[in-house]
Amino acid sequence: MSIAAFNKVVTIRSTTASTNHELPATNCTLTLAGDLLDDTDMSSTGFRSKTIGLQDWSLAAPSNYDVSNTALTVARQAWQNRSRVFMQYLPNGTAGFSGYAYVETYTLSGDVGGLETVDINLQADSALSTVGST
Amino acid sequence: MAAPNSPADDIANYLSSQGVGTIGAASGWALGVSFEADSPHQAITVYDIGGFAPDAHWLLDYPQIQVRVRGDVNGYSGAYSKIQEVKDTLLGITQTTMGGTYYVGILQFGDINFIQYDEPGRPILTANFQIFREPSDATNRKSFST
Repeated sequence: MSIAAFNKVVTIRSTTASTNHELPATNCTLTLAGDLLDDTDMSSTGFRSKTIGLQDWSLAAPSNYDVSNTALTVARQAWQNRSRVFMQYLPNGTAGFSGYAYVETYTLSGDVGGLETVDINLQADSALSTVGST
Repeated sequence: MAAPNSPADDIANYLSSQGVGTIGAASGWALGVSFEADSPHQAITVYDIGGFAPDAHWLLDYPQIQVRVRGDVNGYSGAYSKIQEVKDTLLGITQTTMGGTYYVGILQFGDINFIQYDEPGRPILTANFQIFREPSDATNRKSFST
């Protein structure tokens, strides 16, 4: 069954806290990636062969900026303290993926004709786990 | 919580509170919502004109309104001054709550338009505004302030 993207919930918390806080994201992208290595050798028969090396994931969460939003405070403080956060990316609001990450960038911006926004980018510091039934 | 007012209602009340006009006045600058009465000549009417799709996850709406000003017979300068006053009152407003709804900001798209003189010769001008607002209540949506 398809999922309407507006159901998506993206949360973060500090590693010392137990409560997850929802990021006010307006569009969110979780990217699962891996290094594609060429392992072709003399025994290969006419075509190159590949293997996956180290895997990685990252999260980009463009969000509306709100000074009273706790998740934004958690992200900014994690960046300031060089500490990890625990994030959850839940496409249907309850099930999805989770893992530990660092806040690589926290970019505030806003055009005079629009709303103030903050683009948050997380870079993985753990394996990506599943939450519920994915 | 109560459902949010129409943006036109909130804006008309705000313009009234700022002394731009008086809601339902029989003389002077009469403020109205969605209906322009034939008298008095001097009328400021606020219309809801749709806008952009609201956010389906967060409590954030993007409605638009039109303010239409009708002046005295051959009173173009007075009508223009009044719609300029409307513009100066609404454009760039700082965050405020109107009628229980949090107004994040108001922009203008385009500038003041002269539409026409009506049958008695009263000038009609309009100005259109883009609103960002966060209703205090909507069943399925969430507040940013969590």
